[in-house]
Amino acid sequence: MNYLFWNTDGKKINDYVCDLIIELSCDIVALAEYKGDIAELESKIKMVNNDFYHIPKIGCQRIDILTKYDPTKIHHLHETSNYTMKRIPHESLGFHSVVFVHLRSKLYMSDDALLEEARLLKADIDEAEKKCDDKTVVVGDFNMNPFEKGMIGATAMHSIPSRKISSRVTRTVNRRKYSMFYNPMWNLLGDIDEPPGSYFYNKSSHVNYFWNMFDQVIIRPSLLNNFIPESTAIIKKTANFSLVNDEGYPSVSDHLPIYFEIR
Amino acid sequence: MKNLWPDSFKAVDVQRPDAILVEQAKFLSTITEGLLYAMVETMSKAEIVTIHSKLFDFGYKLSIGAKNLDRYKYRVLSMSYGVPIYPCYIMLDQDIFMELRRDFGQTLTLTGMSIKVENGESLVDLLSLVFKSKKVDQVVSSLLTLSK
Repeated sequence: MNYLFWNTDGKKINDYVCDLIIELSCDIVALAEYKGDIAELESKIKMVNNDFYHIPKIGCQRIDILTKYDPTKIHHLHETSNYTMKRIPHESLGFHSVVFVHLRSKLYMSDDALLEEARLLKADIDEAEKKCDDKTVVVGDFNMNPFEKGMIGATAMHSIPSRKISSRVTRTVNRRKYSMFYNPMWNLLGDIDEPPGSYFYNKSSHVNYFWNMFDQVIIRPSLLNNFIPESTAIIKKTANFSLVNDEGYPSVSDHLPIYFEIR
Repeated sequence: MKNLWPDSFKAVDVQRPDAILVEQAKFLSTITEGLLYAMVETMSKAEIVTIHSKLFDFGYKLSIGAKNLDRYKYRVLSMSYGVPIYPCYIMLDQDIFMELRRDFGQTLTLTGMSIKVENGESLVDLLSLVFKSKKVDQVVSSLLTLSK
């Protein structure tokens, strides 16, 4: 199955999303900060793909989810304002859990507060998995880079850049066991394959990464055999549109979409 | 040997924070005619440390669920406290926190997103603000629509 996540920065992006869904044969699409006309988007998609639905939102208003699955087949699990967990059918897995995340911007939250949020999220995922299974994918705008404490820390997301290490499933720190994720986004850091990140922000500060990888997908070890690492990509164009300007910086939204496949 | 203990001990005359939560949780089911419910769950020690970055003796979380949405829950808040009972510490859902933080008044101290509550009266005042917040209203309204 093919997945797409995009923080749309409140821009009108319906035509872009339609192109992306068709070109990438997306099965699940999540849009953060979407402020467009969702009914128009749904009808545009349905012109080429009859089975595409907007999933009703309850507590997490920050993310819109569209999928080829009828909403009656999707189970709503735990959520807060910043994330929502759904149990979604999958062609080979039966069902799997997808957690859609949009943590608040660093402009409004300290690094410590983001770390606390990441801990809450991880505790909630661990708890939800006790009632189903650990076939869990987490995708979204974490507003943290893969190397930050909230993404790496054992009590937080604990998402490791190595499939080999994350396949150990848990790691013990001070006699407590912590579950792990695999984070494939580390492979996309840097400029060998442009773009160097999913979000560009230039600030007058001593520490400036310019390109950040705030938009990430992380995967439970139980899904490593189904996950296609090479499929993970930051999308910068469709057949009809470019999502970056002449200098290569995001131009439609301030974030670029990310894409991945789980077979 | 002589008894070194005092003649008697008295239990502290305060309502425990979790008892207040449980009491309030029951009302949601009543006012929604059983369609929705609020649940108070005990947090494990590991969960308390994870969420509050400190090992308190007791931890609870309050969530809203719907009878027709089997495994759904929206976490409104988590709460921890130690043997002295008060102060207790509350972490609200972030939208609720952002909506209400200017209304917390002088009695509540914030450390990051953690709210320090000094006594039962302040806790009741805080819960009243939380349950009447726009965010809780929006969640309850959405759940009622999906439950019909």
